[in-house]
Amino acid sequence: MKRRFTPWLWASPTLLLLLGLLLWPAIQLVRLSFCRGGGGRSGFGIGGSFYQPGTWTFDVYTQLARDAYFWDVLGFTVWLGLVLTLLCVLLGYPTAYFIWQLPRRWKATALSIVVLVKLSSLLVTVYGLKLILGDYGPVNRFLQWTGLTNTALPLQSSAIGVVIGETILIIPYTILLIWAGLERIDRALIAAARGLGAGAGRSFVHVTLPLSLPALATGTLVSLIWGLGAFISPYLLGSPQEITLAVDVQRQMFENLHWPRSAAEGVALLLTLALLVALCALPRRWLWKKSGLEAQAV
Amino acid sequence: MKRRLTSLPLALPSLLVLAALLWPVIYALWISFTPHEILQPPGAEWSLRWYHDFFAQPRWMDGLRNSLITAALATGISLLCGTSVAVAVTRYHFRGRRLLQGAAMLPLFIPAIVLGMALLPMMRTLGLWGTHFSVAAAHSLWGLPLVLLAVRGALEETDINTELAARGLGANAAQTFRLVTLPMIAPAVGVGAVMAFVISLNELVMALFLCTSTIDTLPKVIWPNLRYTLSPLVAAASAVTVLVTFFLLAGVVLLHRRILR
Repeated sequence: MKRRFTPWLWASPTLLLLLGLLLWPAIQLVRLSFCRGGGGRSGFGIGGSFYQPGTWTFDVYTQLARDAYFWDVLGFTVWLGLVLTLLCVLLGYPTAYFIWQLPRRWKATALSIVVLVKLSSLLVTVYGLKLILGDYGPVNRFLQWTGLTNTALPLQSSAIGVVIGETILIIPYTILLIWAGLERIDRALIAAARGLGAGAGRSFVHVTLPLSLPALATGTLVSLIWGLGAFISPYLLGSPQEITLAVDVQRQMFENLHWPRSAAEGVALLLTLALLVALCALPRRWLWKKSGLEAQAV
Repeated sequence: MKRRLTSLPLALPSLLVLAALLWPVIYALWISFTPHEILQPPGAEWSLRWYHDFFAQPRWMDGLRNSLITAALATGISLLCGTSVAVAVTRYHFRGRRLLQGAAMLPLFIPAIVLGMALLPMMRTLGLWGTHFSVAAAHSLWGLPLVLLAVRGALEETDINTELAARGLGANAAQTFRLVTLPMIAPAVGVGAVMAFVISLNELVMALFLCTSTIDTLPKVIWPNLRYTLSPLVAAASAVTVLVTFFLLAGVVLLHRRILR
């Protein structure tokens, strides 16, 4: 009888953390989105409040549904999320494949570049990008030197800047996940295909690619999740036209001090995420089955 | 030889991607050594003046201190939760085991902005808003799954019979864990700890929501500067976080070598 509870005893700190910092805030978030706004525009917590606790209303949601600005923001968020996913996968897969093929020593170097860039502050990358993409930055100077353009291209404060920046911030995840999937493939299978007369291209299409599809699907999913939640790059490398839901959540909270609206937009972001992930997960399950790798599922 | 040739069309874009990843970081570090007031890369002359400024100004030093305190707290929480839950899922079979693992990994798949926005009202009602603990607790949502992954792998590889032998010889569960299991998985716990520390040190979005001016972490102090003033001082501040991260990760590599040996 006592043994039944032992694992839960071990798990109790985690359970406490997850219940207190994940489940409860999630419930609070939804509850907050049904509160009346506090009308607290008159300063940070002074003279007004962020919301009126204990009230129940659909105001925020009806307001959002009618707000053309909100739909623009949502549309841009989804567009950006899809573009980023596509770019990360199209660029990430070859890179992961390339790293996988490298000899041991170079592989370690390439992987540590990816991990270091990912783990050091995102802000360093954004700072560097702001300088590189700026009007007088090396990219623009190079383009003008080659004569491709006469005036500086708006690489910064534009959708181009946002896409470049966020791709660089997300792609390490994609590369690492796909690389890890490739690394799990039994190299003997590829050697066998080559030995039986398949060329490099054929053995890739018929052996390596199908076996790496589950990892590719996971990589796509994670890119999509991070792409939809894009915040740092749109905020720092975009213009006021490039507002994502994540940026607006933060603005509603700290600039408009309309917490219920911020919460409702957070809920909208999560719902969009869930919907797109579900759409992606359907073919994913099918892929797992097809490649016969269910047993290795995380 | 043939393999090299066929992989050239693959190598070129891949190297470009890697270069694109590395370039902004290198460029920022390079700028941080400029002797000039303006954002011009250092030419013949390199200078540490911006680092002097960084270490001389209390605003930045407070940020660094707050970051280190927060990261240390977050590491502690992540280690406590991550290690214990790793024991639960590797040493016991019980209903809800997979669900528990999934739930522990879940925070990695939720946008930071939603986590931050959901945690702020809660911390405010609890009266914890503006404490190091609130930020650290939020960061441990990401540290916990990383520790779990590292420690779970180590636990799966250690021989469970050693533990059973200890139990058979009369040690209780706590003694067995402390004297037998923990020494065996210590390097993995170390790796998990460094990962949790580094993640917390560099995390910005949750900190943006949960920090108040007295406990601003270094990324939060850097943040407004990136929008308005790109002084080389900001590059120096970023460089400091990169250096700390780099040394910690080098430590992980050394630990990892010890595990493999």
